[in-house]
Amino acid sequence: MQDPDHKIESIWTYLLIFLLLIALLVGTVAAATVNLGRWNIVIALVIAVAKALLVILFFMHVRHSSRQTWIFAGAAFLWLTLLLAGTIADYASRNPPVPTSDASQSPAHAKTTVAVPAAS
Amino acid sequence: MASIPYIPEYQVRETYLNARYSIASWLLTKDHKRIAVLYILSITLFFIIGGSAAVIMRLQLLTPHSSLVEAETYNKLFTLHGIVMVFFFLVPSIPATLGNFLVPLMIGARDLAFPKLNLASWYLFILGGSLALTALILGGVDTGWTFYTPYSSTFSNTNVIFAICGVFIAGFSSIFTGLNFIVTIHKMRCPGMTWFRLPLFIWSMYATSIIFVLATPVLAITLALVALERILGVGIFDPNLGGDPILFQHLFWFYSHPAVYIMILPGMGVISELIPAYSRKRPFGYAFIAMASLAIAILGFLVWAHHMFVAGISIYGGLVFSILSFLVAIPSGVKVFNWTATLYKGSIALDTPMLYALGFIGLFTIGGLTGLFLATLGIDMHVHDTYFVIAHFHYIMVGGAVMAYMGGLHFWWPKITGKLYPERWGRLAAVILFIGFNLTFFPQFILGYLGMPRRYYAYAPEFQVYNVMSTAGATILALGYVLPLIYLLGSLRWGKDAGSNPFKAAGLEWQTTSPPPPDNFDQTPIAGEPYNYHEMDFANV
Amino acid sequence: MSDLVAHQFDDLDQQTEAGTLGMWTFLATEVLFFGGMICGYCVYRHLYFPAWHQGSLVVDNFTFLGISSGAWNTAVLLTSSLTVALGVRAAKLGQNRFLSQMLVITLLLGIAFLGIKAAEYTHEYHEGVMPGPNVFHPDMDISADLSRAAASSGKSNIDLRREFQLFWVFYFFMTGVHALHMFIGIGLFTYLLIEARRGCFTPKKHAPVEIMGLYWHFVDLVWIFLFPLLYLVR
Repeated sequence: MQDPDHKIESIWTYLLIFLLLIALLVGTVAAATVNLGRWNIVIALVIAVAKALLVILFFMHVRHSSRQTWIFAGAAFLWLTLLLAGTIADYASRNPPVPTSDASQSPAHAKTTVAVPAAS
Repeated sequence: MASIPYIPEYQVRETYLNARYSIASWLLTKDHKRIAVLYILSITLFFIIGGSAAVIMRLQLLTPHSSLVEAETYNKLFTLHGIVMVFFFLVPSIPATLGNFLVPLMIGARDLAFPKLNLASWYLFILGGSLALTALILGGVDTGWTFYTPYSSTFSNTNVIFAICGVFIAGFSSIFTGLNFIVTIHKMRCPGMTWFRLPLFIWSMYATSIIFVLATPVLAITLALVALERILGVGIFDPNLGGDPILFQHLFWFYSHPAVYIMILPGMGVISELIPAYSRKRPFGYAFIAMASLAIAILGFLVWAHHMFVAGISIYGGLVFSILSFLVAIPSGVKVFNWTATLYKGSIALDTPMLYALGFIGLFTIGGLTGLFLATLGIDMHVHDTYFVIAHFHYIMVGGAVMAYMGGLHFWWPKITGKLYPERWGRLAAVILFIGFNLTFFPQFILGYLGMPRRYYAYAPEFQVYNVMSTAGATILALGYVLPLIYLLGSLRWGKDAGSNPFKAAGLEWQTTSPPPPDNFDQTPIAGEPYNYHEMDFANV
Repeated sequence: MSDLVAHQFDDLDQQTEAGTLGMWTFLATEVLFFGGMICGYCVYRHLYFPAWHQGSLVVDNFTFLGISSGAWNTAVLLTSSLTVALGVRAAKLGQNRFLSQMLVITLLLGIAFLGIKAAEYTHEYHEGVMPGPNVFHPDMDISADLSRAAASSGKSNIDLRREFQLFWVFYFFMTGVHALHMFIGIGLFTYLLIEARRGCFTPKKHAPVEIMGLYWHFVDLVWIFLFPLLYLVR
């Protein structure tokens, strides 16, 4: 495994990355004040991912780390994506709930007309 | 007193067992071999507890409407059986016992990467187990080991939180063990031990550790949410209060399906060691078996919703998870074919570990194939929540994993204890176990197909004959477990001393004494090609 | 610190590599740990967007100098990541005094984060949004906003209230678990500071600083995602 010690970042690099991070923070707060409908979440997440990449690559030195480290870091996020994708895919692929008060149409509506059996 | 002449040859050799004798030297040990022994003792205790619950359940099911136990008690029994057997026996079993003992030895290391973390793992396991047993003593839990909501989070009046805390804490025990194995296997292989010279047992420990590390945290957080719901009375998973029970099931099974691969992969690793040793042949398709372990670990993460086909997931979700469940059977099939090919033209010795290994291959195949039945949406509609499912997973977990554990325990018993077990008793117990197992669980396939539901304390009269067969089988099965308990313990006192390599097996663990010295090897070994049975000169081994 | 190299390792390099890989593996487990919570959050945000929107507005409403406490906290953590990175660099170069200074600043920033969090939680308690059967009483202004949101999304008041409470369950649970990790990080860095003061770290033996630095960065990473998810639902 390549020794990350051999490459020591300069202080200026760290400061620059820090300023970028703050700029992105300002950006994400500003974007939240504008109503962009469904794009708000996309922009917020894109900026969050950008910040995360900066922290991971530069502050956590993954930029200079071995392929093994890249694989370990990447695997973690890949697995998280798996969990989110599989679960949300289920919800997203169900028939859209019809907006009635009939609770059997969707899991979300809590007004049940059927008596919930109590514990015996 | 006459002076005894000093004879160096009879000087007692220092092993990990006799290095120090105090209780503190065991309870504060950092030696992976001692920790393995601690785990062997602990999981045996949990096996007895979980098994006792099963015995009472099988007695209850002797007659269609037995009054041996009440309905609520029966619910507590199957919950206890599931929680103890899954979380406190099967999940730790081979990894924490044989894995802890053998991983450093097989790769030529002195210990695991983080010995103190290893000890912490055992303590977490004991703490978690104590909390679960507290739940039992305080009156039990009746939610089933699957803790389905909203029953577990809102309606159950039993000690759910204790049980959840127990499982939560034991989960961290697994995570740390998996972490330890991954780092050890990556960083501490001896000179010459390249990845494709690793024993197949190590490959399967590595694959299992991937699952430990990536799946268990999700279970932890999910159970924490259930506990939160119980304490706060909010509706995270309770539909009456806006929650979604299916979300719980997604999160729960994201761990619990890979968990079943945690339970079987180590067993497969053991079989991959036993079959070559007792055929005196290299494993057929070594690289394929190794890659199949990784494939099972990874693909096993993609199939969790096949436990939820009838729960209300979308039909498209059902389709996708069904296809993926078929895919995950392929690497398992590759392994079965490769073991069989290894047997072909091998010099077979039907000693105890081999009997367990052969039993494994047959029973695991049946269990695995019936898994494909269950992965088929149309069939699952009918047999979900019946005894068909119970038979399926017991074929894999008992006919597979437990038999592999027994086989491995016997095979490496001389290495762990320095004593030989009595071979005739071993063979007898293995045969009794095989017969008892099949008599217990094969009728359950039929019961499930005929429609008997699981987790019911009573049943329709037409199912009685199969239930009686099953209970009769269970008594024979129990005998099959009691016998080894007796003769293995007996061997400690009366067994013959084992040499370094009593079975003439390949592997670095056999190149050191039985039992090994505290630092495993007198000199760091240099690894060559594994499974060099074809090169072994029997006269000199 | 006694022996430089533990007995199971052959040399310091192997020990350092093992420690680093061990930390990365642990961080992977943490990604999945927080990931479970995030999965639940995502599902309910998808199902109950109006309630999530309302909740986020309340959370984001707690401001110092016109900037929400969440944004302040993000800035605090980003700065602490900078000081950690600078501290690790100092350890690699043997600059012990600078290392100690960076560790002190990191600790102060960590404590500041928790302080702001505590102020937030207190404020939210007074607003009546802490979940729980006898505690959840959103105050007048919030209740009025809720009713309006309920009316415009076609749900009943009770439904939206339940969904609103669910938001708060996730908010407190996610930020609470994160805060717990911050506490642990502060504990680890206090240990590092003590060792640094004793001159334990040299360019050859700086691994603990780097490894625990990875942990701190990870806690920052989690917050980088929690902030938009909880505070900026629009």
